[in-house]
Amino acid sequence: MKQEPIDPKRERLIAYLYGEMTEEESKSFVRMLESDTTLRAEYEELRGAREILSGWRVPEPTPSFVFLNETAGRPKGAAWWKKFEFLRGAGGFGLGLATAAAVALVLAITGFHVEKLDGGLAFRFGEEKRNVLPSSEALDRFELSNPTRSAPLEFANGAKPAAPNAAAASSGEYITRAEFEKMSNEMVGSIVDLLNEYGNHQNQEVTGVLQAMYAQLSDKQSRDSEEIRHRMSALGVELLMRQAKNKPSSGELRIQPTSSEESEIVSPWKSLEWKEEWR
Amino acid sequence: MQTNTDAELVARSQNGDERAFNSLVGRWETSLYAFVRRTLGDSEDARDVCQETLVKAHANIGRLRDGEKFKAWIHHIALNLCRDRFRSAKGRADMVSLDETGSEEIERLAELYPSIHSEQDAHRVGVQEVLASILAKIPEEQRASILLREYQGFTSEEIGNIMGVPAATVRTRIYYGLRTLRKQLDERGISRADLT
Repeated sequence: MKQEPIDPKRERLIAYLYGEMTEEESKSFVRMLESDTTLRAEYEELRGAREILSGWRVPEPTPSFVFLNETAGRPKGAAWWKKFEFLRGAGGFGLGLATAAAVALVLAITGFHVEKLDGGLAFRFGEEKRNVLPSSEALDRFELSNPTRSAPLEFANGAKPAAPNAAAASSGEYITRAEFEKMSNEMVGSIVDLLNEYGNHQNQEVTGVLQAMYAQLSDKQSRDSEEIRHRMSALGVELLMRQAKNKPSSGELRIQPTSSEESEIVSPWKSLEWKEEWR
Repeated sequence: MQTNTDAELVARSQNGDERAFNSLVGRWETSLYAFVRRTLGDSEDARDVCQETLVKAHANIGRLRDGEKFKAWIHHIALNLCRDRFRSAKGRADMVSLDETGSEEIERLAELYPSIHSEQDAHRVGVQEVLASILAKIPEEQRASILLREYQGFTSEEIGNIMGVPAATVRTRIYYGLRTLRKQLDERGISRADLT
């Protein structure tokens, strides 16, 4: 619909309303307002509309759109990616830094965290309330088969409850820039430390998972946890769980390499039962 | 600490400095998202458009001659993407009646907005939805002019540059848009107090 141009008086009204006049022009216009009751009524009407508009808030925090490239998520002053030998040494992967940022984002959003335990590594997904340890029965039911390896994995008993993961727990539909950076730093730090402990083993499966995650994420700078959830389901987590034949009843599983030359990473199938709050 | 100007960051971005581009993104993402979010009325669409905007900006940063206009430039890109969305009729918010802010509506809103703890909160959020729906019915060019002027801090001249029209046209659009908005708000009995 074509609008008729407003007359110069009303154009000045808008300019005055938004402070687009010089002091001289403003004084002149105020005098006009005082003498023109119709114009003054219009001014009050529009000023009232502006007042109402000023109360309109965007209901959610702004998500971070910082690109997931070689600078995103890098802790200041630390060439930490050079420590990412686990990734760098596997099949010419060479994407340690970018991958770390992407993986950290994915893992943070999904509530994934990893920690070192007495007997190996613990990987967790989702809510922190699932720090109830798996029952021994559940662990007994969880059998692994690994035809490419010489010995089955062993599960350590008596794992400690995880420390609260405040960053992940606070994640809702969005993550803010500050949350992203905080979570990235925390996640990357723990991943680097723990995976490097097993760096000599160069677990090709995990490397493949991370590589696939990065490839999927890098084509679209997504912060959409729903999208990531599906991608993870399709790619990473399934691969990570490939060795798992049965579904454990708990959100936690710990692993322990059976020899210094072999390691395995397993995640509980239940972790795919994503909670609504991660959406 | 000295803050780099947009022009400096754009120049560095044009020389391949990704950190400079990310600094620009960090500087303007809130403004950009708020504009797109209010324009489209939907958070997921807004995120998509913002991402697309910034990807386009990144790909075409070399074509931006005046780095000081980076903010206006990305809002211009976003506005065009929003227009595309409207053409496909995907981004239009549904009309919400104030009558719907009954108990069921409060429950629905409480799910959408976890910060809602009372009927008053729900009413406030409901009013914001109504405001959004009224603006969604205002002609696209009027709405964009109002949003860019009201929330993004652009002058009528700058909005004219973004939209490719004279400043006088922008003021005309704002004038008609605000009058329509006020009329609709009055009909629903909404005042400033409903939003606080």
